[in-house]
Order: sequence, then structure tokens, then C-alpha cells
Amino acid sequence: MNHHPGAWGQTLTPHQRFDAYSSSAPSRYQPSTSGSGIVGNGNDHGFYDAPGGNEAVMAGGVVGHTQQPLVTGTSVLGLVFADGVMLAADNLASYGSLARFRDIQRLIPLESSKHSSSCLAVGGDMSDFQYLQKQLETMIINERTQALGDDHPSLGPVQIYEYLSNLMYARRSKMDPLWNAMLLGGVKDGESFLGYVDLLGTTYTSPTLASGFGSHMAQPLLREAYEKRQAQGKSGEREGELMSRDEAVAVLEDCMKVLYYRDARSMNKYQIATITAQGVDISASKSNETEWKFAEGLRGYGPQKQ
Amino acid sequence: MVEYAQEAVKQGSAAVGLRSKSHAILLTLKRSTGELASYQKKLIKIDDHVGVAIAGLTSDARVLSNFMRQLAMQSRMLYARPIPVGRIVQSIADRAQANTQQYGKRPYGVGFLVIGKDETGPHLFEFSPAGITYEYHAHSIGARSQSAKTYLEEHHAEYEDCSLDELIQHGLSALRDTLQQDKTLTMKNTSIGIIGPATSTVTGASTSKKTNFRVLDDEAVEPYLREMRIRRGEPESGEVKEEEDTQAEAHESEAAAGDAAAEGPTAAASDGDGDVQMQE
Amino acid sequence: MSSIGTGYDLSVSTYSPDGRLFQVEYAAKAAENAGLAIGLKCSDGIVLAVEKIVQSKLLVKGANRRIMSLDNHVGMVSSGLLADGRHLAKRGREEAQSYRDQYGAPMTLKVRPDKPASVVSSLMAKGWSSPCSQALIERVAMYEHAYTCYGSVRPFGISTIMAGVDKTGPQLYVVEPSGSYYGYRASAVGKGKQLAKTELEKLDLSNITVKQGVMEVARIAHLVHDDNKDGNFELEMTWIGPETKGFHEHVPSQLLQEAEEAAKRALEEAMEED
Repeated sequence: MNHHPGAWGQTLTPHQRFDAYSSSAPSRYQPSTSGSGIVGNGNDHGFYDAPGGNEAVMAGGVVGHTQQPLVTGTSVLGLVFADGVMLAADNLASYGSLARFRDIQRLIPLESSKHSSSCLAVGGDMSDFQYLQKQLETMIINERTQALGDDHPSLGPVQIYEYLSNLMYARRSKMDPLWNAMLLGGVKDGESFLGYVDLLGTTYTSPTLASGFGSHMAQPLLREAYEKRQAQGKSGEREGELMSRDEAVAVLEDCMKVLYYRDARSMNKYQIATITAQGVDISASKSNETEWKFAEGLRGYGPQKQ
Repeated sequence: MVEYAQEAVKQGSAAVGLRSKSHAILLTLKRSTGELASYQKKLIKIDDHVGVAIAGLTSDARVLSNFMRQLAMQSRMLYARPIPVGRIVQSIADRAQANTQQYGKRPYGVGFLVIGKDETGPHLFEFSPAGITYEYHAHSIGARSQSAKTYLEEHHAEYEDCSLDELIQHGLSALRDTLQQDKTLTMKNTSIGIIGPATSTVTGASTSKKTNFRVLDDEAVEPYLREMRIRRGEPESGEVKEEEDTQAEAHESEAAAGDAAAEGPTAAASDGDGDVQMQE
Repeated sequence: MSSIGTGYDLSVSTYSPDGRLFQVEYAAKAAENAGLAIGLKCSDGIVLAVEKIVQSKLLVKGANRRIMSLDNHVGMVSSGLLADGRHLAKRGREEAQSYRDQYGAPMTLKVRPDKPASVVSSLMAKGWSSPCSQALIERVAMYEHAYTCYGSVRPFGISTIMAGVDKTGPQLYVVEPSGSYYGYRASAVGKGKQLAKTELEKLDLSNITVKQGVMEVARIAHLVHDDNKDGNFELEMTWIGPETKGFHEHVPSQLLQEAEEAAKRALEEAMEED
């Protein structure tokens, strides 16, 4: 299992398939043989005119637009609760395995109005994330300037999600993906929405979601908590079938802790975004109590001999 | 130049639009160039939630309505959102403006009434070749549309709370006022476009459960025309056929009106409603 | 205009013997007789307003907006040909967006060089563009000016007030069809602009807040408007200030209503005194 974002979307070589602990993400980067344009073609939608192209390697005739991520964020989590949606992401942006930037906010609040509010949690390449943020900002300003003329409600979470999905899929179809996996959470007219999109344009929605390493480590925990609460609500043991704000925070904190223990690209400093009809609230960075004494007893790797 | 383009709109046959809290409707008067020709369609569906009525040059209308369809599809594809009605109308207006400012281009010779429904409710807009749009409660464009406007203004306070049936009756009355003295509305020359839930007592069974844009032509229009005739105290079946002569005679006092109605379809077919015949 | 009708007014590319461009002057005329628009620069923001004559009672109240946004922090309103105003706004939005794309920051309306002139000119000698050419007003005015230079186009038939709050504070400019522009503390364009300007001059413009501004602008709009001559009108008003967190938004309907009622009361009182 290689969960380094560099390995996302790539098929494993026979060697890697055999050696599950292989840490080398195959570098697919090939220098371009001709100048790739920075200037777009003037199309309305930035993602149709992605730079790149013409990178056919003359000798082998192989086309390789594909990149690798450099500075990356790890998994993000999402959870539907009684008043809306919560998202969680840590503050780390890694350069390979180096914990390079340790004060990065990976939760971005999008348009929030009296009609709807939305928020995005992003993992993967941080420069692609910043590009994405710019695209969304353009879209939102555009919406806002037009709304002055007709008071039409701004794009809700479902619509922003559709836009993101199209953007990601269009880029992957150009073989030049934005190297990210993200969750979009939002509320519109009392309806909660939570959806996942990644670099392949894969989309799915669920009341509990996690990307990357979190989809293995945290998703089962989130799902368990969610389903337990559903069952309790149905049987009348507790009111409502969704978690309260406090319960949701507690589950997310637990998941972030588990991820910090097991995901070497994570950090014990994270934020939680709470998206409700009132808007998006992004918490201050927080940490969990951790316990590392058990590490003394671990055998099998590291400097110590049996 | 722009003023002349607006004349082209006035040459086109009339269209009337009305809007209530729950519905927006269009009513149009169709023309045909001769007995062998069919009636020119005046209502165009743009998307499930948007429809237009045209007055003026049909070919220009096609260019603009294709553009509107593109925009509507783009909005659905990119954002999964039915395009807000005001914005799609504004887009064609902005396009029309460019044609008024550049040498070698001519303004579009067509006017639109656009109805639609979005998150802010039902709407009725007018688009004119000068590149201007207005939102109305009720409006009319095309030949002798001033007469319809006079009717619409008289009743301007009523539309907001109208049922669909009442709205259509107001629309038919307004449309009727654009006709020449000896002409009448028939199921051949009248089309109705509707957006909003189908709750009609006139037709009995509802035509559609959906609120989407739909067009009523021919037989589907007849119940509304009959209702109109009843309200005006005219013979119930306007299009008097041979076998209905007895019924027509029963209303002797209104024989004149009945006769006019009887020659309705053919008369309209032979010389339109008396306008200059434009290739619409 | 002695040269009227002598063929010197058919194209913008033709000067009259006394050196005037009649097409451009006609364009300015188009702007003079349209509904009044007022712009006010306050100590903490800006206020824009426009008087909309109600041409038909079938028009939907509150719809058919005239004031437009170019970006989060910039608004504009023009008097004259409506469609030309929208054309200009479209260009303004493109300029503002392109600046954001390139520099990642909101565009200023007008850069006032904060460096000594010698530094600026030496930078320009190295190929840097003039600080002003990176400013929204300059770009929009250049665009309007281009439409006075060619026989194939006609000039914009609008006078435009553009106002916003950028990093240098509140800003307000009026752009004419010729492409010339001037900064103001307050201005008015369209029908009755002289009277409106006279009233604006009476205000304490260096200390007025946007909240007071809304009241004053409403009063002036009602004062200038002649119900008997022009018929009913609707007042549309937007602002940028502390209340909007720097965004260009409509003045809340409740506040606008208050302002209009106060305006009507003030007018009645003034009438009684006369």
C-alpha cells in the first residue's frame, strides 16, 4: 500500500506489487521537448486551456503530461451532523516526507449567504490547490457581481460540487490532472451535502467521507459512529438520527488522532470547519493528547536490535 | 438603425405575456402565408424552464434562441443549475448591443418575450433589438401590441394572484384586442406557452403534472377559446361547422360575431390578420 | 455648433474645421437627458444612486436594476444608453478579473504613485508600464476612448460614475464618452445634474459617513426629481462601507425606505417654509 499522493492514480509496477513497502513513487515526470504555453486561449473557463501539451517524447513517441505532486497535504475528513456538515484537515504541507510547512489551512470557506454556505477541504498538491482556490474565487466573484442585478441565490454546494467535478474530470481527460482529493461540504435550504472529488474526476457522496489514508483509517470509525447514532435514533433511545455538534467534534477528534498515530504525513495540529445555515465557522488549530510510551515496546524496525 | 430594427419587431404578429405568483404564460397569434402553408411557429422552447415568443425576423430569432439554448445547456452541464432567467435574457441583450455599436453589423430584427421559472420564481422579460431587457408583470410585442397593452394596463393589479385559467383568459382578451375588427382567435392561429403547475378547470384533466415549459396548440387551445367565448357571451363553438349551423342560428343576436368566427381559419389563412406580410 | 449638418458630424474620424468631434459631443448629449445618477464618496465608503423613471405600471418593481458591480469592491452606474452601460461594465469586469488573475489582488481604481516621480520614470524606462495603466479607471477610460478613434464604431452614449473602496480608501470617478475622466468627492450625471451637484456641494464631504450619505443622496434625488414633469420614479441605491464589509451591495430595503420617507418629509417641510 503506497498512499503517498505521488502514487495516486498510478498503476503499480510488478516490482512494487511484489514489494508492498517500496517507498519509491515512480517519477513519471518527463522534461518537455517543446515550449508549453502559459497563456490560455481566451476561453471562458480556465480549465479548458490548461498549459502543457506537446510533451511527446520524440524518441519513444510516448506522451507524458503527467506530473507528480511536490508539496502535499494528507487526508481530509467529512461528516454530516444534525445542523449541517463538519470537515477536518491538519495544518501540514509536506515536501516528500519532510514536514515542510506546518501552518497551512487546508479548509477554505466558499460563498456563504442567507441561502447556502459551502466549504472545501483539500488534500494533495498544494499549488494545484491554490490554483483551484483561485478558480473558485473567480466563479464566486462572477456570481456575486451578477446577483447585484437579479438577487438570484448564489451557487449552492451541489452546484459548486458539480463545477469541481467537471473541472477535475476535464483536467484528467487532458492527461494533466490537478493532483488533489477533496471534500465539499455545504448546506442549502436546510439540506446538508457532502461529496468527494479527486484527481481522476471520481465522485461520490456519503454522510461520512474521508480521502487518502483516511479512507482506510478514519472512514470505518466515522461510519461506525454515524450508523450507531442512526440506530439509536430509530429505536428511540436518543432523539434524532444525526450526531449533535459535540458528538461530531468528538468523532472527528478521535479520527484525527488515529490518523496522526498511523499516517506519517500527518501532524497533530488540525482545524475543523462547521458548516451550518448560519455560515462557515473554521476553528482555531488544535491538538490531541497523544501517548507514545508503547513505542518503546515495538520491535522489528528502527535502530534497536531484538 | 436600431429604431428601424424595432420597426421590424412591430411588423411581426403579436405576442402577449403575463405572470402571476405561480405561473408565467405566453400567447401568440400565428400567421400563415397562404392556404397551402402551415402556420408559422412563434413559441420556442429553450430549456425545461425557459420559453420564448418571437416577433420579427424568424431567422434572427433562430440565431438568438440557439445561443440561448447553448447557454442553458452550459449552465446545466457546468453547474447542474437551470440558468437564472434574467441572466439568459441579459446575455442575448449584451450580444445584441454589440451589433448596434459596430459598423458593418446590423441590429437583430427580432423582439422576444421570455418566460421562465428559477429559484426566485416565475418571470416575464422583454428583449428588444436595442439590447435592452425589462422585467414585466404583463407585456405585449408585435403588430398592434399597443391595443393589448391598453387591456393589460387596465387590469394590471389582478395578475399577481390569478389562477392559470384566469391568467390565460386575460391573455386571450389582450391578444384578441390586437386583431382587426373582422378577425377572431381560432385554435389554428392561437398558441399558448405555459410555465407553472397545470391546474386547469377549463380543460378538466390537467395537461401536464410538471411545471416545465409546454406549448398548447390546435385542439389543446380550444377549451380556453370556448371559455373565452362563453365569458364574452359569444356562440360557444367559435369555429362553426356545417353541422353546428343550428347552434349558430340559436344565437341570432350574435350572428355577426358568429359569422366572423366561422370564416376565422380560412380568412386568417388567406391574408394573415391583415398585416404587411413579412417573412417572419 | 456651427458645423452641424455640414457633414463633419457623420463619423468620429472626422474633425470639424474648428477642431471638434461632433459624434463624441452627440454621445455626451445622449447621456445628458437620461435619468439622474448620483455618486458620493464618504469618509468610510461610497454611495451610488440612480433615479429610474417608471415608464409603465406593468414593470416589476425592484427588478430592472441599473447599478452594476465590476468586482467585489467596485460599483458603477451610468446615465445614457442602458445597453452601452452594460457593455462598459462587461469590459470593466474583464479588466478587474484579469488583474486578479495576474497579480492575485483586487484592482485599485487609480494608482497614485507613492514613489518619487524619478523612481517611477526610471522603472518605466526599463519597460514597466505606467502605474496608472494598471488602474481600473484608466483601463476603462482607455477602452471608451478607443471607441472615439475609428470610423467603424460609435462612441459610448453614457456618462459613468465608477466608485469603489480599494487599499487607498474610497474612490470616485466620472468617465465621459470621450474617454476623459476626473476624480470627485461627489458628482451627478444625467438629467438635473446641475441642481444635484449644487446640493452635493453643500454637504460636509470630508466627514460624511455612508449612513449619512444614504440619507442625503435620497433627499437630493427626491429634490431634483420633478413628479409633474417626469412622472413617478424608483430610487435604486448601493453602497460600500463598514456595513457591507467592503463589498458593493444594495442598501438594505428598510434603510432605503427610511431614507426616502425622510427625504419626502424634508421636501414637504421646505415647501411649507416657502
